[in-house]
Formats: sequence, C-alpha cells, structure tokens
Amino acid sequence: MTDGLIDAVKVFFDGVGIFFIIYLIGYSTFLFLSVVVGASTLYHNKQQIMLKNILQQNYYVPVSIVVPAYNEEMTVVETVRSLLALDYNVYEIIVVDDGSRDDTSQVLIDAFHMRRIRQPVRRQVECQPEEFIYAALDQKVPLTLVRKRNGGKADALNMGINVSQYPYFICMDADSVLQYDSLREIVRPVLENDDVVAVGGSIRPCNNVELENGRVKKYRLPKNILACMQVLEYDRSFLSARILFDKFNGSLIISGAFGLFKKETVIACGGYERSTMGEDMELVVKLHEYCVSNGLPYRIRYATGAICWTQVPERLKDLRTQRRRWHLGLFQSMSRHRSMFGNLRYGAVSLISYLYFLLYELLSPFIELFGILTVFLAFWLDLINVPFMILFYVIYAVFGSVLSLTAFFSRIHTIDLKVSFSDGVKAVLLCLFEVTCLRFVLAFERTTAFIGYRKKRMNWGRIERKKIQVK
Amino acid sequence: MDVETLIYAYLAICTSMIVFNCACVFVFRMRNAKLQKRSSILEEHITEQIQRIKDGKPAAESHKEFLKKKLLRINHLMAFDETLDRLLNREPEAVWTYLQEIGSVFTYLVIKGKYNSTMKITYFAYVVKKYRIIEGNPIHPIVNVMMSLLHDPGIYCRESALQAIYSSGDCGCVLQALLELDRSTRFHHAKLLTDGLLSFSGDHEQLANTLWNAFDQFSTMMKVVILDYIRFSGKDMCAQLLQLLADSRQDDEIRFSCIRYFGKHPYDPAFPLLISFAGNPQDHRWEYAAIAATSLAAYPCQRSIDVLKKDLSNANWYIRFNAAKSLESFHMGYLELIDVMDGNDRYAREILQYRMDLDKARAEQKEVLV
Repeated sequence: MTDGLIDAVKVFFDGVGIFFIIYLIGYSTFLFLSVVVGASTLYHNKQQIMLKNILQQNYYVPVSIVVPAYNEEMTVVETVRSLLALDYNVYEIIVVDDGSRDDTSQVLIDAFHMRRIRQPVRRQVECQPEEFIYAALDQKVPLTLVRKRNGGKADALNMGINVSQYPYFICMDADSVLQYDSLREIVRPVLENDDVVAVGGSIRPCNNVELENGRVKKYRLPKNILACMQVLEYDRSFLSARILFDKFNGSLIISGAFGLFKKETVIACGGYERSTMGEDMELVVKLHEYCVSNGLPYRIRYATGAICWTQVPERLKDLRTQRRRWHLGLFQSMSRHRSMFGNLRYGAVSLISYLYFLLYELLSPFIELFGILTVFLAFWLDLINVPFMILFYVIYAVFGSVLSLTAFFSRIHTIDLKVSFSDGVKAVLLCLFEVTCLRFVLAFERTTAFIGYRKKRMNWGRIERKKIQVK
Repeated sequence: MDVETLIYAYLAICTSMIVFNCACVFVFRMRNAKLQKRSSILEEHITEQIQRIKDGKPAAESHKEFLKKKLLRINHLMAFDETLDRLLNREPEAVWTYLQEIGSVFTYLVIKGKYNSTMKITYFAYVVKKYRIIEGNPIHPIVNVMMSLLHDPGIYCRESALQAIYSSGDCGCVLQALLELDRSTRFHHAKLLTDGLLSFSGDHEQLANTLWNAFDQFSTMMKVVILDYIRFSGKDMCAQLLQLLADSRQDDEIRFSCIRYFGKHPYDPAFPLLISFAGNPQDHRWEYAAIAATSLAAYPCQRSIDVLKKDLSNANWYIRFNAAKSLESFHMGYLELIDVMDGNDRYAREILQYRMDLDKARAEQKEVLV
C-alpha cells in the first residue's frame, strides 16, 4: 500500500472511531438518564401510593375497549372474560373480528350467548364493511362483536372506533390481559389534565406469570430463556425510555397492546393509518402533528401503573418476525413524518424523540453492522488495539447489564412483586447474555427487515399463540 | 477528556447503580419492618386508652402528649393509620369515641406539623378525611389549612383537601372551598368535583340550597358542576332550573345541564321547552335537540313520540340515535312505529330497527333468566 492510501485508511478509521465514541456516549447517556429517571419515577410513585397521594374515590371516565382479533379463537374468550372482571364501572367491550379464518366469532358467540343485532355503523373513520354484529346483553358491561371483512389491525381498530359509544377508547391485543386496576390507572392522567389526548399503558411479559381475576397470583420469570431476556429488555428499553419521554411530552409510541385515546382527536386526524405495519406509532406521531399544526394544547402521557400482561414470543423465529414488523413500522412512520426532523415547531419531540428514534432505533442496526465490519477490517489491517477493544466491549456489556438489572429490580420492588432467589440469579446471568448476544441477533434481523420490503411491506407474519394462565 | 477516563466514569456509574439498587431493597425492607414495629407499639397505647374510655374515664393527657410528639413524623402517622385500620375492624364504635377524645392532637399537629412536602400534607388531609376529624366542626383550625391547600399545584393535594372538607359535613365550608377553587387557575376536573360533592357527609338538601343561593358567584364550569351535582343528588329544584333553562342569555353548557336534569326529574312545565328543543333542531345548536331527545324518554306521551319520530330523520347522528333510544324506552310495538319502519328514510329505519332489536333481545334474555 502506498503511504497516501495508508494515511487515508487511518483517517477513515479515526473518523469512524470518533463517530462511534460520540454515538456510544450519546446512547449510554440516554440509557443512563432513562433508567435513572425511570427508576426514580417508579420509586416516587410508590411513595405516592404509600402516602395515599392518589384519587381515592371511584371516578369513572367512560371508555370503550376495542379488541381487534384475527384468528384468535384460542385466546379471545379468556381475554374477554378478563376484561369483564376489570375493577371499573363505565366501559364497554368491542371485539372486532377482522375476517378471521378460524372460529374467533363463533367461540365468542357461544361463550357469551350473544345475539345478532342490526346496529348501524357510523363511519367516522375509514374501514372495511361489517358482515354482522352480535351483542351480549346479560354481562356486567355491554359486549359487542363486529365481524368485518379482513383489512388488517388498523382497519379493525377503525371499525371499533366507529362502533364505540364513549368519548375515550382503549386499544388492546386479543392475546393480552389487563390488570384488574388498569382502567382506573390509565384514565387517571385524563382526570389530572384536560389536555391529555392519549395515554400509554405499561406492557409486561406474562409468560409463566399466574394471574387470577386480573391480579398477579405468582410472579416468576419465564422458563424460556428467550422470553426471560425480553422481560429484561422490556424494562430497560421500553419502560424506562417511555417514562423519560413522558417527562417532556415526547412519547412517539404508545404500544398497540394497551393505550387510551381521546376519540374526538383521533377521528379528527383520520383514525388509524391502514397502510402501515406500525399503526400504533403512526397514530401517536399523527396526533403530535395534528395538535402542533392546529395549535392545540395537548399532552401524550404514559401511565406506569396501568398494566397490560402480554405473551412475548418464545421462539426465535417468532421474535424475529415481531421485530421485523416493528422495524418496518418504525421506518414507515418516520419516513412518512420526516418533516418533523429538525423542525423547531415540534420542540423536544423533534429534537430529542425523533432524533433518538432515528439514530438509536431506525439506523442503529445499520450503524452496528457497519461498526462490526469496520472492526474486522481494522483487525485485518492491524490497526486496532485488541485489549482496549475487548475492555471497551466488556464495559459496554456490564454497563448495559447493570442498567437492565436496575430497571428490572426497580419495577419489581416498586410494585410489590416478589422474585425468588433463583429468578434473581437468572436475571443477573441473562441480562449479560441479552446485551451481548440477543441484541445483535435482533439487530441483524432489523437490518435484513427491508429485504423484500416491496412485496412483504403489509405482511405481519404469523406468531404462535399460547393461552395465558388466567384463572 | 480521554476515552479511558470516560470508560472509568461509566464504570463508576455502574457501581453506583448497583449500590442504589441494593440500598433501595434495604430501605424498603427496613421501612416495612419499622412500620410494623411502630404500629404494634401504638396498638398497645391505643388499646389501653380505649379501655380507659370504656371504663368511663377520658383519654389520658400523657397519651395525647405522646401522640403529639410522635405523630409529627409522617412515618408515625402512617403507623397510627395502620393501627386504627386494624382496630376499626375489631371494635369500630370504641375507636370512633377514642378519636373524638384525641381531637386536640390533630389541631396541634396541623399547627406544629412538620409535613413540609406536598406529599406529606396530602397524607395528613387523607387522615383527616378518613377519621372524620373535622366532622361537624367548621371552625376547626384544620379547615383553614385545608382551604389553603386548594391552591396547591398538585391535584392529589387539592383533591385530598377537598375530600377532607366534604367530610366536615358543613355546607358553608364546601361553598367556600368551591369558591376558592373557582378563583384558582388550576385545572380540577369537573368529574372529580361532581363526584366529590356527592360524597359530602352532611345534609345534601341543605348543600344544594347553599350552592344554589351562591350560584351567580361561580364560573360557568363550576355552575355546570353544581347543576350536575343537583341532578345526581336527586334534589327537587325544578322551578329554579326551569327559569335557568328558559333564559337564553345563559351559557349553552348550563342549559344543556338543565335539559339533562329534566330528563332525570320529569317536570311537566319543562315539557314544552324540551319539545321545542327536540322538535326544532335548526333553531339552536344541535346539542340542544340531541340532549332533549334523550330527556324526552322521561315524558312518555303522543307529543313526545311524534317529535322523536321526526328526529329519527334528522341529519345529525346523535339526534337520530338519542331519539331512537328514547322511543325504545317506550317499548312500542312494530305497528305503532310502522310509519317509520315502512317509510323511505333508510337511516331512520336502521337506527330504530337497531334499538328495537336490542329491546327484543333484552326481553328474551329476561325470559330466559326467569
């Protein structure tokens, strides 16, 4: 190699090194801040509950729970049963069967003795036409089943919005279970502030957790290692980050598994977008855009106490399918709303949230892959300090693991769950594995998510369903 | 700063996070253990005093002094609360008598109280409400403190203070509290206020009258809260509310609330106005017709049926929907509705058919249950 080429390669590696140092400092700082803020918020909340800084009376904001279901015959009855057991008075349940190929509708009709009614649907947001509507009239709250032509989850949610009768609606998954007090908790921000247009609930993996009437009877970490690592990942990445974003009204995602929305505002911005795989993120970004461009005061909140238990994938194949979908949804939303990038009108949403999602979520798998390739190249060219690299990597892994554990134990201690000693050890061991291995597997999946994008951009893929242990 | 320094800084952060985690576990465990210990000590003291009271003696001054000293600290107040909770399950009457005996302790606490954070003072307000410390005593020094808390930025603090004031059972106090809150710029949800008023421990008739007499002093939002309270508490104020409804200078929200009132409390002199709102939707905002259509369910007569049938053809969904719902409540047969069911208006037919389906299904369900 000529001297000039060697100099150019060195300059390239120096540039890459500086970029990665800045990139990792940024990420580590964000992770640190989010876990510290998240943990301190959880402890503050616990203190609040201990000192009865809560709304004591039974205040009810009427809500419609919309449950989109596609091929959910195995789980949907249990889900509805758990919804009927919620500790709340004024709500209705609307199950939207999105043209299932199995007996999702029939199992519901049989289980709840539903009767066919000719309910006219007020089409405020676009959706596929209904095929039939059934209602159960002898339950604690109104239960409606709408069977419609298949149109995807967003389309089913739009149908739910059209059929619902209350001013707020909740979207949730048909394979999830809401904790008994989750409705009270999720409407609380609405009572605290009239400008709240959406509230995100807290999603918890429930594999191996025993639930009875919406209450945790026995908390155990999942037996399945993959699911167990996701528990840690959920606490570190989702719980903490969402608490941090909530502090400056910067939430860009409310999980499709559990969120509350002001119907009027959602209708005003056109309801759920049907041409995206990440309809949950898309709606929240749209709400930001709609409220900012119309000069409306608004808040998008995150309720840590509003808990939804959900099954996380136990097979790597399912997990990869799920993450591929999330990543494509993220890409679709971010590219659709790219005008938010660097736009000062959106304040912190643009400067912090959008930037974070762009750099550390959307582009991160590519950046990480580029980093790994560069390391190999540098190693091949003998331009890398191997002991330093190993030290750096170990510290990064320990740092990530400690933050995962902090988030995990903060959650466990602040909601009075008890983990056994063996589960504690399991968490300690697996967090390291999650940071060093699973993260890269998922990064690879996210990088390759775009392969065949044109053909498969609306294909959700199938994930194996299991019954949740509900009594 | 070189990279190594940064790495060591992050290592330090990791270490401090681990220490933080361990410290939290330790603090929680210790706190619980201490709470239980304090509670059992207090239980001994309180049981002794309850026995004294049962024997016809007053609570000992030394006990009051002991409480004054201890309860200044929030952790002891929490233990006190837990102890009373337990004792209330065992012998409620004796505990209430005991609480009356030691009333002066709470006066001392509020004057000398070291509840210097919003969270702590909110907890104190909760205790005041729970143990009805100011019940029947509107000039209690605690009332003034509760009033001052109504301007606190924290919603839980304001709400706890309000709850304590409702527990006083004094109409004047509640009136003053609502006026204070109305003057404040803080947002306090109307639902919390209406439901809170319904938890008032005194005479609701008197409270409704007191609030009505001061009605003009309130903002529109608070007026609606008061009207909703009157509606839910079931007080007869038909004549006064009809005057309000007839006054077109009143705010729309206030008149909507009056229409809802007459839907819950049928009042014949209000009927012509309701018919006029439901029958002439074009003359007013659409909400008048929609709410009046719901209220007409309480006035089953031919005139209502005619107006509601006409509303079924209205372009507004809510007017159509509410009219159909009210007609359903009259349990009419197909023949009585044949003009709509065989008419040309598909929307009217559909919405009525839906309500009739529901009515029929409910009736069948009842038969099955019988």
